[in-house]
Amino acid sequence: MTASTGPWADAYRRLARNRLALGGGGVVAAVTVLCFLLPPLLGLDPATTNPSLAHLPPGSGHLLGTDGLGRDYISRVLVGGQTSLLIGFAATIASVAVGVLYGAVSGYYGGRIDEVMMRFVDFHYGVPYMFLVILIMLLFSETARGNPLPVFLALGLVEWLTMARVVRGQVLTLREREFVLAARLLGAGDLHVIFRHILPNVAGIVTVYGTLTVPAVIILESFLSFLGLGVKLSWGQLVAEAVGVVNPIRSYWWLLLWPSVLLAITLLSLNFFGDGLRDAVDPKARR
Amino acid sequence: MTEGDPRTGEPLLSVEALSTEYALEDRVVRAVTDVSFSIARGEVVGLVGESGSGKSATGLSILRLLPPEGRIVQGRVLLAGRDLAAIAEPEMRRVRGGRVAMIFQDPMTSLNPYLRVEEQLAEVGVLHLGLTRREAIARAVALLDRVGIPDARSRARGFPHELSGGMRQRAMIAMALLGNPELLIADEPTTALDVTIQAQILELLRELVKERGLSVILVTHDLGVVAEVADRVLVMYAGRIVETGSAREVLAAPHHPYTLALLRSVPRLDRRATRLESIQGMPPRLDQGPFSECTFAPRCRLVQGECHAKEPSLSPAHVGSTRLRRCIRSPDEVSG
Repeated sequence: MTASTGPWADAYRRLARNRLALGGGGVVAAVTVLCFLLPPLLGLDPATTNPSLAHLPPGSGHLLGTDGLGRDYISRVLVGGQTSLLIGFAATIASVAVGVLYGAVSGYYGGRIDEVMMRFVDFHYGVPYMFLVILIMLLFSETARGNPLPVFLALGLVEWLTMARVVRGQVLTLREREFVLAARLLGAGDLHVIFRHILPNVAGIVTVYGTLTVPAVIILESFLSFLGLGVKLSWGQLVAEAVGVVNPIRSYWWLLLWPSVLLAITLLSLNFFGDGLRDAVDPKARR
Repeated sequence: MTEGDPRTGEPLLSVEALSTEYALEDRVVRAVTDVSFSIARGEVVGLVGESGSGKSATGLSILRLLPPEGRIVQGRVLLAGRDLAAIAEPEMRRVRGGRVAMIFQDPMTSLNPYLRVEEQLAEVGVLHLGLTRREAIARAVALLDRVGIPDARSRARGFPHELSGGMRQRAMIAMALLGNPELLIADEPTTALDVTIQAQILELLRELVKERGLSVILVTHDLGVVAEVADRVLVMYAGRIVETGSAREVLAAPHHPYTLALLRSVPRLDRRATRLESIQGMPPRLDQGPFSECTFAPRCRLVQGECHAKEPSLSPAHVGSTRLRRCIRSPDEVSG
């Protein structure tokens, strides 16, 4: 018996042939593992201050140097990475869950329901997201500020909109396909049709779009941190702090270099992986 | 053919004065007008007509799966005495795929490309027969084998794109049979297939009718298909039934000029190749309310003054005959 190849197996095979995408995926996985495993394994401590060890350059007992308060910089970069990645993935998962359901319902039922649901999305697009984010920050008390939750909420609120639109567009065409009619002709209800027949057909594009959302969220978070609206300790926050102390006489270059490099490598790799995934899922889209 | 179930004396399905409308943006199209017919257990009824004659709309009306703009405006659809046009939607869902199943034209797109064949088929068994997934898959494989798919077990593990068109139509038929239906509505089941495959699928349908006492409504524009398998034929034109009768009699001696014209537009092997006749003109528009003349009059070769006076009713060709037609000319004038 020959191994049967479904659409997923085909996509996987195409992805496995794409070195750039695989490399990207590998780098992201490696960075993630390093950020989450190294601090507990090496007992790194990002918080303890020691004024006598302030601004030590890399080497000298602290592999990546120390910051202005004498905190070990490698711990700070790695723990900051945890936050950035966590927010990136969590906000993406949330936006996928909400956006996919919203888009699927809107597209499947169509008509007036679709109209109302999509106007709601348009309305949210129309509000500048920085305005939304600042509003959400203000809703949380002083103590909650700097926690991941408000930032996560704010980012999720922005990102699900596009996902909902993408999914809705796909569902609009899918619901006219004959296998959907066939399923209904054989007695399937709406929920069954949506979950069993329509969502598997959008899973590919959702995965692709989700993968490309992760770097978008990470960079948004960094941007928020840079503006002082973000989380206490993340790559964006570290870059912001570093920019504050860098000066032409004493550059403290390592403060800016490490988080920036890690951020850039992670974002690039995620994008390579996402592009590869898109080519794998939809080979016809490749120009 | 006998009209009713020998046990209850009642037909399996009886459609009474069914009318269906599509409310488009700027107009209302009456796709089905006053269609009545019944079908006995184990009977095959051919529903024939050109594109837009309302034959598919009739099939979809029976299962209440018209597109959102479509609506049954009048009539009853009695399945063993129960009016399908009036029952609640959850109950209707149990009928679809349970007592009444439907397959249609394009087997290439009727199966979900992301689901293994067996999973897709098994759904019906889980939904309608309350089987477990494992039992349903076993039943699906058995049915795939029955409809003539070689090596059914491994085919079932595969995906739809690994099957040929004919195989897919067989798989669709197996899927439709999974819920043990009493009535199968087959909408152009062979149109997208090669002629040889076509013959095999028709043969399969015929066997299933014999084996299971299945009733079939065969929607088609192909009179050859009707001649092949149908016991009775309904000829539709402009949303109306214009002629009914046993398939043999209707095809041998049509009593409506439209049926005759349809027959003459089919190439035949037993006749010298003259120019194939086409029916002049276009079917009438169905969005302009009731007709004040015969709907076929503008295209009819036998048209006379009276034909424009009012639309003829569907009436017996001869006194006491079971053959009905919607024409005022005598049967001899038409077929002669």
